[in-house]
Amino acid sequence: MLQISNLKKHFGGIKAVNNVSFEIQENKITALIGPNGSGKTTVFNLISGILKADSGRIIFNKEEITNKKVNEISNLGVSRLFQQARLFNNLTVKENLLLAINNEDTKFWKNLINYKFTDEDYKKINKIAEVVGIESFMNKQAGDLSFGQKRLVEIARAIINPHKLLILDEPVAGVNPKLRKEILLLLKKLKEKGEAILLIEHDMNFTLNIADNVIVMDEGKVIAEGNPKQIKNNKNVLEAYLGE
Amino acid sequence: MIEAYFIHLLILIGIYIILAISLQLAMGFTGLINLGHIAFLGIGAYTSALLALAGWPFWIAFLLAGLIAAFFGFLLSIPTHKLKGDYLALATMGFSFVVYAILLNWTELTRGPLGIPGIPKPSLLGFSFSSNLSFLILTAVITLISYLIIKRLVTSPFGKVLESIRDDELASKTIGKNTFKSKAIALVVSAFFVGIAGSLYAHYITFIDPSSFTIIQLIPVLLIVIVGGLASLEGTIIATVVLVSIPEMLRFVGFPSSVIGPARQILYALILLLILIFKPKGFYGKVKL
Amino acid sequence: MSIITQLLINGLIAGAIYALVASGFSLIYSVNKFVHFAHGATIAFSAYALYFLFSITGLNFWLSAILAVTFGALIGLGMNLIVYKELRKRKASSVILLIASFALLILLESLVLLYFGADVKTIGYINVAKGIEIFGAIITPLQIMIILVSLVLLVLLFLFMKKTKIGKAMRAVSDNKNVAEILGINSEKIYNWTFIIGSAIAGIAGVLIALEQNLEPTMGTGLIIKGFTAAIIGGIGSVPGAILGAFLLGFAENFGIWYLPSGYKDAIAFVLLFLFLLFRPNGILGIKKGGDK
Repeated sequence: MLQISNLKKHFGGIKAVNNVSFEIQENKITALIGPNGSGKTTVFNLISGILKADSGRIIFNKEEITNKKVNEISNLGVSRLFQQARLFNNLTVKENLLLAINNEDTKFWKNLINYKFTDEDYKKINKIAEVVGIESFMNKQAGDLSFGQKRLVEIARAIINPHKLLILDEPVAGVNPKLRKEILLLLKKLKEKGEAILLIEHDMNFTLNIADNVIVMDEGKVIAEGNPKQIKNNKNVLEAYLGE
Repeated sequence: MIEAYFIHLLILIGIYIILAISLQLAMGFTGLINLGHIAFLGIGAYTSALLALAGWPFWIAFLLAGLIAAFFGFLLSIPTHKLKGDYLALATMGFSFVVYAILLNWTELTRGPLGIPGIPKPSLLGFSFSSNLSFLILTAVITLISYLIIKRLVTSPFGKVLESIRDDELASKTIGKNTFKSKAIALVVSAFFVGIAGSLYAHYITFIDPSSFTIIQLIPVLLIVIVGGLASLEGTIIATVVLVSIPEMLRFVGFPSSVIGPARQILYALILLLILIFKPKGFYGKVKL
Repeated sequence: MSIITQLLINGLIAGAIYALVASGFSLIYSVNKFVHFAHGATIAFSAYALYFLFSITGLNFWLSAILAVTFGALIGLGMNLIVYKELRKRKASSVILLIASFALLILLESLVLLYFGADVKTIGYINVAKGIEIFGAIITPLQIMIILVSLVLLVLLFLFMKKTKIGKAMRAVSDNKNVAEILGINSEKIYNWTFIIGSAIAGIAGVLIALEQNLEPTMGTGLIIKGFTAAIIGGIGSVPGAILGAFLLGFAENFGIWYLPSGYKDAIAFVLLFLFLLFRPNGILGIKKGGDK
């Protein structure tokens, strides 16, 4: 459903993403791994339109999304989780989630005349809040949450945002082991429901446990691709990590 | 005598409330540090004054004051949509100076530093608002309508979109919001209300000149917004009443008017500094810039 | 020919004054990372201090000038210690610092207005000397002095930043405050120094401007706008950039009013400011520093 071909992005002399090509399939969890600075997050920023590619193409559901705007790409069905906390800190958890439901809320006249969220909207966010396990603090300010709680709210917001593909940048980084397990189960549950997920993760155990397909990057290039078993035994991958 | 003075004060408070809640919409709710806010007041005041003097009915001049200011708000939103923080503040300040320079120098239209005297008092359907009491009622009605519209907007889901842009614009884009459009709407609506406040001001004072629309005039409005608390409309209204009234005490204490002008600015600037240091969220706000 | 030379010379004089304003402003911005509008008030305070000491009290001119510059440096330091330091302690954002500096500018200008009144003041130390003719253009000895003093000061500032310990520490804090602190540099102390030095330059600018032009309470606002426009043209946070921008602005204004009505002289700066913020926010030198997230 997502095809990336010959993608390039340079920052000055640094080749952050250097001729990267790969493909993602539906109903699968694909993991993008690699040492620090290997260009994973840059690939994510290119997919979600935050950065403009120097060359190459990104095709999503047969539509070219290379260099489209961030909100356009989101509305075509790519939902993103950032590595750092990016909640709307002065809004409540509930408001954070409601914002992601649809874009009726950006229609000025409709809002001015009379527009309110429907019971269905509330049901939708409550259901996902339950799945993710955040229903106990729905009315708290997002800025007052703990790190782990913020992470969960962000995951919930990314799931609520209408999408066909979830791209998650280090969903469990800095999260305690108990929560890590919960997120692992949650992602598996989502996959069973038919979600396509692309994720970046440093934790090898976590990654190999969950991914159907693994893509390894080093110094801006894809150096290996395969199922977790193949990756575990790949010489290039070991070198890239040990040579770090 | 006291009564007449009281009415005058209330009219000023009404005009300041519109100015301050519209700045709240842009700055408190959407996070747009617009130091060009006063420029819209000038645009509205001159539009309305010139049209009224050219014989147009008050209500058309009044609405066009809002619409033309809104149009300039739209123009300002296009080039500035990528700017944030310091840079946005400087660019909007530059806009304010450009507008001031035009008001001062386009003498064929604005009479430059001489200003425009003899602006007629408003009249509507044959009724003239020439007494201050009737003008107060007009101001109160317009202030109330402005408040209700802005209140409606910020409490609607659209208001949350604006707040999401203030808190994290990129995150707002990643959940699919067209933040360029939403910011433009916030600035346009904000400018519209400042424009009509400018019209009220022009027809109340009946004389305008460019010096009423310099960046210095922004200090009280900025102060009101910060004292009231960002993103708090009720706080803003309380702050307006208190802060517009306080310096009027100076008049009663018997300071000469040459002292009251600078003393008022000193007082405002001092309160602003103290609030920024000791109560950065203002009295009723929850949001920190 | 003579008109062109005259415009060049006028541009040079304006540029020299703007360079003094912009270099101090830019120095403070580069290290402290916020827009210090009240820098304009420092200039006005020094100019009025000279007027008070020399024209009213009747002190010796050179002593008055030195005291006025010292006064400027102390005002700058005072603003940092009383207002900005407190705000930094409370983790205020650069936008809050900007609003605070704006409030300080209005506060100090209003104090001048209250004490000295709104009417224009003149120092009258140097009687309007006969201009010297160069290629058909006129320049007064005072104007030559302004250009020379500003050039000498800018060279001294450059040497200070390159050679002295404090100058080097300033550049370190400007580059990366956290790394500088790990290296044992006390950033608060360095902030104080930037305010002392930046404001002393503003003080000198105030003295020179007081001799060349009339004094008005709002003179600082006009000057700081020119100063930060110059800084943005050259690349905000870069002192050499600010100086380059200052001279470009001086020329642009003086050649601009050859085509436009002279009332639009100030508008030229604002239009340039606007254009640069929009299309080249890192300035002509293109130095990327903060702000452009």
